[in-house]
Amino acid sequence: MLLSFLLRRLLVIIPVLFLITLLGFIVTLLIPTDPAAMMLSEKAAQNEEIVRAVRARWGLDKAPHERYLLYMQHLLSGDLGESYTTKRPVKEDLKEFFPATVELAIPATLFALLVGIPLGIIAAVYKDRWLDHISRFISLIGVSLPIFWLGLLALSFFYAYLDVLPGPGRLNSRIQAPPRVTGMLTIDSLMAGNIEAFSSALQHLILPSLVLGLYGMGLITRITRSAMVETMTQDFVRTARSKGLIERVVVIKHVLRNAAIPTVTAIGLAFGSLMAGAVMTETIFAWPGIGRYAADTALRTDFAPIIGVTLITALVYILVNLLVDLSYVLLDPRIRL
Amino acid sequence: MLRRFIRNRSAMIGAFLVGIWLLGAAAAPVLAPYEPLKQDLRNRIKAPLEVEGHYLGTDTLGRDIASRLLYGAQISIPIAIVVVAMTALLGISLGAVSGFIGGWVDEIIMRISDATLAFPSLILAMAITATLGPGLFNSAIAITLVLWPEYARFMRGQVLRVRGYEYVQAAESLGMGRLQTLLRHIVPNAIPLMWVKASLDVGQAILLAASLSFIGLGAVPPNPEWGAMAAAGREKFAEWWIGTFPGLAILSVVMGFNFLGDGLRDVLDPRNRR
Repeated sequence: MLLSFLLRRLLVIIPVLFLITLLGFIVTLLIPTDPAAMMLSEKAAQNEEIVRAVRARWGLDKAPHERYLLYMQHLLSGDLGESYTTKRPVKEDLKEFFPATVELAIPATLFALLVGIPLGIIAAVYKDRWLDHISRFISLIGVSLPIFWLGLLALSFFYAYLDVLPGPGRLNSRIQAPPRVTGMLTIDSLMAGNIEAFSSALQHLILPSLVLGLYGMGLITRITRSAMVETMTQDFVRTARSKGLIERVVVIKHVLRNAAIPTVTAIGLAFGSLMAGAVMTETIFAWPGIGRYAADTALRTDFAPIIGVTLITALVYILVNLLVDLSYVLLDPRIRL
Repeated sequence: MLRRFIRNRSAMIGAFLVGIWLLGAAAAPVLAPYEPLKQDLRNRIKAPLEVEGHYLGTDTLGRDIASRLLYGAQISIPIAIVVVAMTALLGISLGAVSGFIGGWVDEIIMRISDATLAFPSLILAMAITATLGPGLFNSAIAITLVLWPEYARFMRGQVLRVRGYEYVQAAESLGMGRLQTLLRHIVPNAIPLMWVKASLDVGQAILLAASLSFIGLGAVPPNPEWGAMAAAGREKFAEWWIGTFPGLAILSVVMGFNFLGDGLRDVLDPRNRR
């Protein structure tokens, strides 16, 4: 049962990933600019021979459908193509940049969940009272803040003005980076036993992960609150109250458990917004992750890396939502897959 | 309905914030103490009130920030509203077609919407804008192309749900054409909830447009677009006012639209009635 469910869900991934490549390719086909011109200096771009050589080197002289077929052929053998911008295989780039994003996304997600869920519960329990108003206000600020601006404010206050936290980047420039194992500096430095690097990496994580997590925090608070409020109007909650259960038991045993499913579902869907946030956060904090990589390459209409980043984020997104579906079984014994 | 709206605190806070900015935008020529593009190189980078008349200070070219914010409202807000209107129109049409015709048309539209949703919105918008070339108009198109799937899915769901209702089946059995049923019975039913989503999305569209401008893909200088103005404050930690006030403007107007959306939801959603 479980196996066939997993298989079915994993099979659905294939057409979606295929469509992503197609959509990305169509977007780049509309390009009025010539990628070759992007790569060359102005002087070189005037030399026809150089231009022709560059176009041949990157396969730009072929017809669009040929280019797409070629790309798909490579993709099926695990090759994501090459980036004009970095002049390296996209796979190598992703291997280098993805761990940095993961290292940033984990504390951001934890912050969003650990603050957002309790705040949402408090708001629902104290619906229409001042605790509710405060938490609604905080969550609304969370989803309304321009991330780039919050990043700038955080840097100018905590780094430039107070000087209590480090500026952009992942590590203090004086410190030798630990040998690369996972690509996540906190873990790598611990493995190397380099406490100085570990503490520097940790300090560098504080501001960007809070900035990145704030939007998710606001979103999760709002989702949790509305799911709780909706559950509270149900008959079984009224029954529980009328049989004299104390409010704490009603909230924890009856409301929370039943509100868990819509909350978890929405959290899974909200995971996608983390990536959009990562683009801005990584740009502001000079964080060498896939968000900044996508931003840099998108600005130059560099096809392969954009698709590469999108494929990897879509994959993560689909897997997260698969985990969400699996968690239903734990949350609600009535559900069978 | 109107009374419930007026009694709703979120709705009123939202209407107030949005109203202030709309007024400010409309009255910018009267309210703004300076021309938004007028440079004054003798008064460059002045802190708020350091020079009389510059309430929020001046930027690196000596332009008055308060005036630029007011004129900027004339750009950011109308563009976001137009973008959401275009998005809703596109999404609703595709969703209605998808739900109504079904079959392979439905399959194609829904799979395209899946793929679009799979793209991180900002990255797709950036790629499209970079492709079309930087500019406000192009970034508006990009945002439309990124945001439509949610409307399409919502509308499709509504069509499938409402089609089962007796009054729609009655209308169909009375010989009402498909298009007529759609326009007369299904679309009007879906509109109230659309207002909620549209209001929340205007906030999102403002944020997206500002983000695009911030990375240099949206408004072209010297336009007083808020995202571009905030970008001018980058790396200028000591001259905090250059970036802070445009950001506050964005925050306040986006909060306004979000409050408005929340309030509308309370008012329009029958489940929330007490």
